[in-house]
Amino acid sequence: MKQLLNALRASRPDCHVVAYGDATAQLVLRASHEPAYRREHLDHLCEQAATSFDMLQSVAATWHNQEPAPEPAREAIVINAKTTTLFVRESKETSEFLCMVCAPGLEIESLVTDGRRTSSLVL
Amino acid sequence: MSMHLDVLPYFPLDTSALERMVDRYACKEHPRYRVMIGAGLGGDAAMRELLLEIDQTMLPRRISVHCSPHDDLTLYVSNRRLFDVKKRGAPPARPPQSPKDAARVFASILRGAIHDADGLVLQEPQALAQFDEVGVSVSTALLADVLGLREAAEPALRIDGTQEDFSLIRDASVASLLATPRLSFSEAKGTQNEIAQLQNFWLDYVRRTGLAPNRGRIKHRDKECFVVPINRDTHLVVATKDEKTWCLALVPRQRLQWLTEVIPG
Repeated sequence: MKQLLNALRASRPDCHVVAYGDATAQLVLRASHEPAYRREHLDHLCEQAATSFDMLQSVAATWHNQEPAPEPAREAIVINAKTTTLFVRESKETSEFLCMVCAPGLEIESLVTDGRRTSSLVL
Repeated sequence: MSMHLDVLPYFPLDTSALERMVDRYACKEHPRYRVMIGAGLGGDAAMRELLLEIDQTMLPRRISVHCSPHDDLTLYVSNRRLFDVKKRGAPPARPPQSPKDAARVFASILRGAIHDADGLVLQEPQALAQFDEVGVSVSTALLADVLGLREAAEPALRIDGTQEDFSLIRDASVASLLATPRLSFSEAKGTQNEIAQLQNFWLDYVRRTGLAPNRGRIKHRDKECFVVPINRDTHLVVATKDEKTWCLALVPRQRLQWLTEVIPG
C-alpha cells in the first residue's frame, strides 16, 4: 500500500500528501508525505474526513428522492487558502478513506479521477 | 466584567446530577479545581458535555442550562472552572407535552417567523410541510429549549444577497439555529424547494452529529470550504466563516473550478 501511495504522490507534482486512514477511528494508517509534514496535520485530515462523510450522509438523507436516483457520492473536497484536499471512500458503509492534499486552484476533475482510481486499489 | 452568554440547547440536565456538580465544583471565591470529566456521573451524556464545555472555557462567560422545563441555571465559568451558579426565572412558554405537540408548535412558530420576515416569504404548503417533518424529527427536549428561548434569541438564519455563481447562499449560526426558531430571510436566489432542502440538510447534520459551537470536530483554524456532491450536476458547499457561522450554498458542477479560486480568498 505504501508503494501505491508513494506512486500516486509522485505522479502529481501538485500533491503534497497522500494518506490512507479511518475516519471513525480518527487515524491515518499509512501516508506518503514530506518528512516535515507533522502528525497533527494528519490528525486534522481525519477530522475533515469525518465531517465530510457526515455531510455526505445528510446530503443522502435530504436529497434521497431525486429522479433519476443519483449514484451514491463517494468523494468530498475541502478547500482552504493553502490546499485543496480530496477524500474518497469506496462505499457509504465504510469509514476507510483515501486522502490527497494538493495545491490550491488545481483542476478538480482530474484530482477526483486520480483519487478514485487509486482508492479502488487501496481500499 | 462583561460576559458572553451562551445557551446550550442540548441540555435538559438531570437535576440531581447538576446539584452534585455544583456542590462539588462551585467554590465562589476560590475555585481550586478544574472540573473532572466523567467524575461520578455515570452515563449522563448531557452532564458530560457540560463538563467538557466548562473544561474548554478559558475566558469568562455565562452558560445557561435547563435542568427542568421551568427551572434553569446560569453558570459563571472562566479559566476552566465553575465560579458561580445563579437560578433564573421560569421561561414564559410552557413546553409542549408530546413530540407531536412540540412539532406542531415548532412549525407554527416557524410559520409566524417566516410570515413576519421582511424579505422572502415562504408560503407554499409543501415547504411548510417539510418544516413539520423536521419538527417531528427534532427531540422534544430540544424543542422545549427552542420554545423557552424564543423571546431572547436573535434571528438565526439569513439568506444573504447572492453572488452570480451561487444558486443560493445561506448563513447559519449553529447556536442560534438550535436555540431559536426565528428565521430572517433577506434575499435569496433559488427556488423555495431549494431553501427547504438546505434547511433540512442543516437540521439533519446538526441533529445527527450534535455539532454545536466549540464542540464541532473542526476547530476553524482556517476558513474552510467543504464540497460534497448532491448529484451529477450540483454540489453542496458548506463554508466556515468563523467559529459560529457557516455558509451553505448550492453550486453548479461547472462552477466548481471557479470555487477553488474564489473561496479561499
